[in-house]
Amino acid sequence: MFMAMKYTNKYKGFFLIELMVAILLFSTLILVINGYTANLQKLNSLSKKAIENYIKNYRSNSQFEHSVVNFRIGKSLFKILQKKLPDSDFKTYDSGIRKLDK
Amino acid sequence: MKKGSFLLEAIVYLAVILFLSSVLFKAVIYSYKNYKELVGSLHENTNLLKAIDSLSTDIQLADAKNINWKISEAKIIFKQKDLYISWELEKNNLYRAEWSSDKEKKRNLVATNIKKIRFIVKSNKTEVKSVVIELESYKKFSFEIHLINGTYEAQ
Repeated sequence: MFMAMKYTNKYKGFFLIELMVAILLFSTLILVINGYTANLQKLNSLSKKAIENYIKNYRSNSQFEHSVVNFRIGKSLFKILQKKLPDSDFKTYDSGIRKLDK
Repeated sequence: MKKGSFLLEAIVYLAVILFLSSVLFKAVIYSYKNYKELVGSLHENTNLLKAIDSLSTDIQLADAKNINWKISEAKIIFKQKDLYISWELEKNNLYRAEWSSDKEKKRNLVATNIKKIRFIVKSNKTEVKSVVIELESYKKFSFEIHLINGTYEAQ
């Protein structure tokens, strides 16, 4: 107990800094995860929009016109999506991705 | 340092660390579930879009003669040149099958998570003109596909 008290006394300030660094790292991690899922959320709603647009085009004039949905996502997410959806029509262009309805 | 203050400090540190790790654990679990759900939904939507496109192309190019069409609850069979094609919903999964006299039946799963599908055929005495598809997935959709044969004749 005495040894522990001596140790705590010596590194009292260091503990506080350590705690602050941990909190900082923790919040950065949460922010990164949030950003990542927000990107996926956006992509998901765009895929729903693509289906609705396709059907809307059919309704208006029974002849389908190719519609293109353009959006940009991060490269790391793109690599994951490419692995998850190997048959998808995702195409890269510049630094982003282009998704064709057809 | 007094004995009491050391204990208090240790308890505070421990409590903060416990709190942070439990929140982190929850955040990681939540994010993983969210990620899995979103990727799954994205996959389903992409497949649904492809399925709708493939189904509409199949119907557009189908043989319009009434005798080549069979429609039942959530199932449609029609002919396209020498090929028979069927679209069928089974336990929320949409299957496409094709076969002919010299080809074996090939059945493929094309889309999942479809709650309901209904085919309504619009035809005259001899020929099918169009097919109305009522589909229920994450939302209800309804659209009409005109056969290319029928459309040309009507024009």
